[in-house]
Amino acid sequence: MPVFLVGAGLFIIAFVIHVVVWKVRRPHHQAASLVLLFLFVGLAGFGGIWLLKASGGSALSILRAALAILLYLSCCMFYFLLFSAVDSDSPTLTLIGIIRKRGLLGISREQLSQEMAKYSFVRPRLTQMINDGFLVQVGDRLHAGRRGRILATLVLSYRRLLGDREAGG
Amino acid sequence: MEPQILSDALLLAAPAIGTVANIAFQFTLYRMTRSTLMISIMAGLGAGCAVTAAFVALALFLSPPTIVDGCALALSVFVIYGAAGMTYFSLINLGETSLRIRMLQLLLDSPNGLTLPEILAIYDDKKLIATRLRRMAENRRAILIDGVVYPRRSVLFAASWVLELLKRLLYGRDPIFVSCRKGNDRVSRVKMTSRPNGTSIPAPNDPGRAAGGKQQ
Repeated sequence: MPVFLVGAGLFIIAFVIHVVVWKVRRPHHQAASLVLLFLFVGLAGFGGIWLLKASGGSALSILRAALAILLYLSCCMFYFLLFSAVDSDSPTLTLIGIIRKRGLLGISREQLSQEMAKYSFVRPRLTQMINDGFLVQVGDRLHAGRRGRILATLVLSYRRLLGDREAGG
Repeated sequence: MEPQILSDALLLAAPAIGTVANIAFQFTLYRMTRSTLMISIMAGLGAGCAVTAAFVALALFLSPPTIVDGCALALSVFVIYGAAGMTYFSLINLGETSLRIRMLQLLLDSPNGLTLPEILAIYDDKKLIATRLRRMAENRRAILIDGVVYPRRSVLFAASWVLELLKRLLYGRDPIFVSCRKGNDRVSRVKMTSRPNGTSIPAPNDPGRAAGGKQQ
């Protein structure tokens, strides 16, 4: 039980701090700020537990503490993946959100296309990729940046290993 | 080795071994058989989950805890395994569905780079939406009857609901994907001003276009 309480409890504390900070003032670089915040809370929390253990007040063994750290990091990983969809809107989730809002009435393909036409995906994503260093702009031409090359190489290499060649999009 | 230490070591190893089994099973199934990517992913997750469960059972058998403790430990291990599985799924899915990867591949295939109109001529919003709709229908994530699309209970619909809640909680406004609404340059405006050279990708009706591309 202590493993679960420590790992999940620390995650809840970090999440509450994150919501409060975002309500007060949303950071410019949301993803990086989020990672730093969760790392800081994790380090502070586990540092405190380590101090408690050193003074003989904690019942967590080293292996159980490692499990609690892994649990905390896993909860963070789940949340980071979820947050990436909040930070940059996913076309698929936008589609699903519109369909879900119509409920059992359903929505015709034409209406769905009209609804989706209110949103823009490619252009904002390109701008975001430039700002995040995934693309570089030279004159009016766009090129893959260093970070973009690393990401694309990693993902596309594994895709080739799996036997697929083209990115889906 | 004491049963307690061995049990803890097994609990710690369980999600790692489960993840290795997940990846190996998914990879083998997809490469060796004609299964679809989604089926191979689900089968891999299931196989890894079974391996993880076996290790957890062995660990709890070696050093039996109370029922509450046992459930909490098992839950912790499965959350860790789930996060690893989700990360692997995202890695595969990035190649399958990510707009970023699609754009990056386009640019990597063009040594001289591409202009925005060139990119949009290859892949614009209409094409993107058509691709996503087709994929949703193929993967039966929504029900399509006589040209009408109905929601279908799935993980993605649950994710969409959770995202909506999260957006309400964090941003406290109409959460339906506000940042991509046309005419709302929240992303562009905030981030472009922070770019060192002040350049941007101007929209055709962008007031900053006439002013040399720099927005204030």
